Formats: sequence, C-alpha cells, structure tokens
Amino acid sequence: MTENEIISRVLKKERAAQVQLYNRYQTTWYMICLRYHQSKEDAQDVLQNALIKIFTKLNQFDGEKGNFKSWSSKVVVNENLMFLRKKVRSFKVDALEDVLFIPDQVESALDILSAEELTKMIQKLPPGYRTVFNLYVIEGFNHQEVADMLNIGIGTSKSQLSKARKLLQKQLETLLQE
Amino acid sequence: MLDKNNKELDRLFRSKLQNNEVADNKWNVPPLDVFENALSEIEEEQPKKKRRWPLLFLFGFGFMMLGGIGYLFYQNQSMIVELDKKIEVLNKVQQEKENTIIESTPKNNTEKVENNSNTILTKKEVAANIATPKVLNKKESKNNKYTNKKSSFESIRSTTRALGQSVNEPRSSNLISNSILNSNLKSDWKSVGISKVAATSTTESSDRVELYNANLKTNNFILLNNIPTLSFQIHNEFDDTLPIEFVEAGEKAKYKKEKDKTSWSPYLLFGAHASKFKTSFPIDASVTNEVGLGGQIGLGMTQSLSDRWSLDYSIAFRNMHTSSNYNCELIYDKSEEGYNNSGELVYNMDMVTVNPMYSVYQRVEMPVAENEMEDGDIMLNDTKTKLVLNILSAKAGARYRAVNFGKFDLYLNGGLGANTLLKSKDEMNMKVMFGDKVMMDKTATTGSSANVYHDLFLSGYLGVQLDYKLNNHFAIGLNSNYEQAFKSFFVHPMINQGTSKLNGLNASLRVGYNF
Repeated sequence: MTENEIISRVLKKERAAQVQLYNRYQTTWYMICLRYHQSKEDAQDVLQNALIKIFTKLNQFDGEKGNFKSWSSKVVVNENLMFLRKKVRSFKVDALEDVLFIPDQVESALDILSAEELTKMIQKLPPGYRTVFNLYVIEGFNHQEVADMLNIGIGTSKSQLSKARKLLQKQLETLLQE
Repeated sequence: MLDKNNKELDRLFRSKLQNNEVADNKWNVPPLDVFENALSEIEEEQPKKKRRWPLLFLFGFGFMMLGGIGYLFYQNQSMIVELDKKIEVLNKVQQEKENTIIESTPKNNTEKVENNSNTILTKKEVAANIATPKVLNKKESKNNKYTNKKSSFESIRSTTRALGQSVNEPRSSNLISNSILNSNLKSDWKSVGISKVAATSTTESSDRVELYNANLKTNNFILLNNIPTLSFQIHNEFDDTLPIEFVEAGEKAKYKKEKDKTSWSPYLLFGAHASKFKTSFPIDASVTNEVGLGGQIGLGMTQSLSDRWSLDYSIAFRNMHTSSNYNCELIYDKSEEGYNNSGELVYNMDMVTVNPMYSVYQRVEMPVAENEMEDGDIMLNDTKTKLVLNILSAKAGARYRAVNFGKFDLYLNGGLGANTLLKSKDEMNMKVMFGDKVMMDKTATTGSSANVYHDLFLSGYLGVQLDYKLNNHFAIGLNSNYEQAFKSFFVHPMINQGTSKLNGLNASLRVGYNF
C-alpha cells in the first residue's frame, strides 16, 4: 500500500491505517522528541501530543506541496518547541570556554558512535544549546529561521550553536579519553 | 579550520541521526501506550465538540416550552378581562330593557325572556351566552353566502370547550336591543323590528330582525342568535343580498381576536418503549442486537390550531436496557507467541470487538501451552455486551383528529425527534474459544459515556393516539408510535462507515390539562 493510500484511509479514521502510518514513522518522530529533551518521559509526552496533532490535522497535509515525512516532522518539531517554551524560560546560558578543535581521531570516533550515543550527547546539552543545535544542524533551518522560531536574535542563535558545538566536542574528547 | 571542523561535526551528527531504522535494542521505539493514549484522547475530543449541538437544541426546546406556558397564562388572564367586559355590556343591555322591543310568536317564549330579563348574569352564565352560536347544518350552509363564517364558529366551538361549555347545551334566551343592533350596523341599514321565530323540526328558535335600507328603500330579514354579545350567526331567510357589513361591524373584531387564539394544553407522559439497534460494520463479523426495553417519563405541550389539527411538543427522558452479541473468527499466528514477564508462554493478538455503541481495538495476551496451537488454527471470539442507556429525546410533531366518538378522540400523529445520550453503562464479556476450550474469558465494565463517540441523532415517528376526556379540563391519552432513526446513534472514528441506528416502538400514557 502506498503512503498516499494509507493517508487517505487514516483520514477515513480506519484504525488499521493509523497503526500502519504510526509504525512507519514512530522512530522518526520519537528520535526528534528524544533530541529535544533530556528525559524520556518528556519526549514521550511531547510525542503523544504530536501524534494527536498529526492525526487530527492530517486533512491539512497537501501531498502535492511536500512529503508526509517532512510535514509530520515539522509538526513534531513544533510540538517540541511549544513544550520547551512552556518549560524553559530562557535559552540563554553562561559563556563557555574557548573553542576546541576536533582532532582527526575524533572524526573517526564519531563514525563508530551509534545514533543512540549521539542522541544522549545532545540530551546532555543545556536546553537552549540543544534546541538551536537541533534546529540548525539536524532540521536544517538557517539562523534567521531559528531566531524567529525561538524569538531570539540571530546573534544569540549563532552563539548558542557555537557553544553547543563546543560542549559536544568536549563530550567527544572525554569519550575518547575513556 | 574551525569551519571545517564544525561542518564535519554537523555532517556526522546529521547522517547518524537521520537514520530512522529501529535499533536492535529498540531505544528509538516509543512505548505502545504513547500511541494508545494519543488515540483515546482523539476519541474523547470529538464527542466534546459534537455535544454542543444537543445542548443547544435542548436549551432552545426548553425555552420554547417555557414560552408556551407563559403565553398560556397570559391568554387565560386575557380571557378573564374579556369576560369582565362582556358582563359590563350585558348589564348595559339589561338597563336598556325598557327600550327593548320583543315580539314573541309563542307566548311561553316571551315569558321566559321576561323572566330572564330580571336576572343578573354571573360570569359563568355570560361565558355560556357568548359561546353558544348556532352551527349551520350542511343544508343551510350550502345556500348561504356567509358560510365563510363557519370557520369562526368552529373556533368559537374551541373557545366554548375552553370555557367549559358544551356546544350542544341549550342556549339561554336573549335580550335584543335595537340601539345595540343599530350601533353595529352600517349607517345605510337600520333595525326596525325584532321578533321570535319558533323552532321547527330542522331549525331552532331564533330572533328575527327586520332591517331597512334607507338608500335602497328595501327591507330584509335576518335570523340572529345570541344577540347580547352579537356573536351571531346570520342566516339569510329571504334574500342573499344581506349586508356583509353587518357581521363586520361591532364586536366582530373581538371575535376575530378569539378566532386567532390557539389553545395550549400541557401534559405529562409516562411510558415504555421497545427498541432495537440496527448495527452494521464493514468488517467480517456479525453483530446481533437484542430488543431493548425501558421506560420513559417526560412532559409536553399540545398547541391546538383548529378543531382537528394540533401541534405536539414533548421532551422525555428514556432509560433502556439491551444487549448485543458479536462473533468473529480469529486465525492463530504462531509468530505472535512469546514469553511474558513471568516467563509464561503467551499469545498476543490484536482484537476488534464491536457493540452498538462503540468498538474496542486492543492487544490481548492469553496464556497458551507449548505446541498447543498451530498456525492457521481458527478460534472464535464471542463477545456479549450488556448496555444501559439514558437518552434524552425532544420531539415536535403534528396531530390530526381523525375520529371522534363521544368522549373519545382518535388522533393520527407524526413528527421528528432529536435524541442524545446522557449516560451509558456497559458490561462487556469477551470470550475466545478454540473448540470447546476457553482460551480467554474477560469482563470489563465502564460506567460512563466519556469514551463513547456519540452524536445527536434525528428520528421520525408515526403513530396513533386515543384520548379520553375525563372532564372539561382533564384528558388521558394512550399514544403509540413507531420511531425510525435517520442517523446513526454512534459512529466510531476507528471503524469507517459503521452505523448503529436505534429504531423501535414507543407507548405512553399521557395525562393532559386543557386550559
């Protein structure tokens, strides 16, 4: 069954199609949520809300304008941001140490790290850094878009991204030393 | 260098995290309850939106009922005021007695009138007087150009009933005043003489008035009944050219007002109903519903439009007990066998169960013995649901009085109803059998309709009602009708095109009061 057929059946409220669609994208949606939150519980709460949005607003999805994966991922990202807006009052954090350079061996170490380990590294970032990093690096938004979405200045977005990277590099270094 | 490092870091993260395959340790698979909770929240949100309509409808209906009762009391008050005015008119008539010209053909009639002339009328007597017009028989009305007045008399008949006076009761004698007559005539016409006409085998005794038209220089005769209030019926005795203006004069406006009045009668209803769900779901299974029985209690209002037609509004609370059976075959899939946390071998399967109110989709776990079941073995799902429903029904319809015999009236009625579920309780027993062996036997009870997706459903009804008049005010009626739903009672969002319509017979006893 094609994705469009599944979607049209979901719109008719067929349970089997809902299950099928969920099975197809559950990891995509859940991984997004995990990247934005330190706790699994928060990620699961947000996923639940995002699922409600996806299934109730599915009639707004236009297959001709884009694919379902990016539409639904955007819904999930938005839901995460809404949750963070309520929970995190400010994205500002203290300044960090100077930039670290990634040595060549770190690059190879990154290659052997699993998605789970990388997700955990992102989860360890402070909420502001984590959010900007996710939006810019993983979701692919530019600084202007990130700034608009988080209601911060472009400069702040840039600096938070830079600081997120530094913290990640630091974590990598620690990992390598172990 | 810095840029290069950043780009490398970004690329590595992006490539790793955009791989969405299920990991071996399933760290990136959300727990099943996340999905289930989301779906149940979606289900709960939908009825909330729909429930506004029944509430608005019921609010509107209640408002209309209150308005009707208010109007009824207002009408009653107006009637009293009207009667007071008529008493005043009659007293005036008595005072003008000296100027009254009465010619009587039979002597005893004159005496009777004279005797009555000394009587001070009570309010009740006045009511009787004003409401006792003669109704034309068919033969008379056929040749009469004033037959268009017949409808007014029919409305007067209704008024008569409202005032507690039978149409067939004998009329009291009337006093006739030339001055009152003349004040109600157009200036061209003048009453020049009034006499009594004796009753014949086909007509009752009446007052005959001789009219004279000064312009035309002609005389005409009319028969009048019930002169004091001029709630007369005119019968042209000799000539078809009698002035229509006569009836349009004087108190005609007053009677027109009475004619326009409709009477309202509130009633209480108590009854029983036998209804059955007609459930249809596009799945390979059978749903059989049993006849549900229950009681109902409510109140209503009848608005009489004419002697035969009336409108009927009611609101009733209905309670219903019913049950439903659902059967389907389940095919065993050995790959779904596994061990639970206690180390038991269990079979996991997805089950859909349907009843007239909702469907349940759930993953069940049942213990199986090693090698007890094989791929393709067929099990039977036998689910029985007992339902208790409380439904609020509002109905609006029309009644037609088809037959009248003595104190009995037989009505044909029909109309529309709007119904909504107030509360439900169900007990669902799910049984999975393999041959004679019971693989699973589970009972679940829910106490509210919170998880049930339901909607306002419309219905139509047709039936008969037999009324018996206990006295001038009270009547009891037996109403029986068949009700057919136009819309499904419940539509579950998870099963497309499923319908469950509630149809059935209603019987009720009505106790009504006629103002």
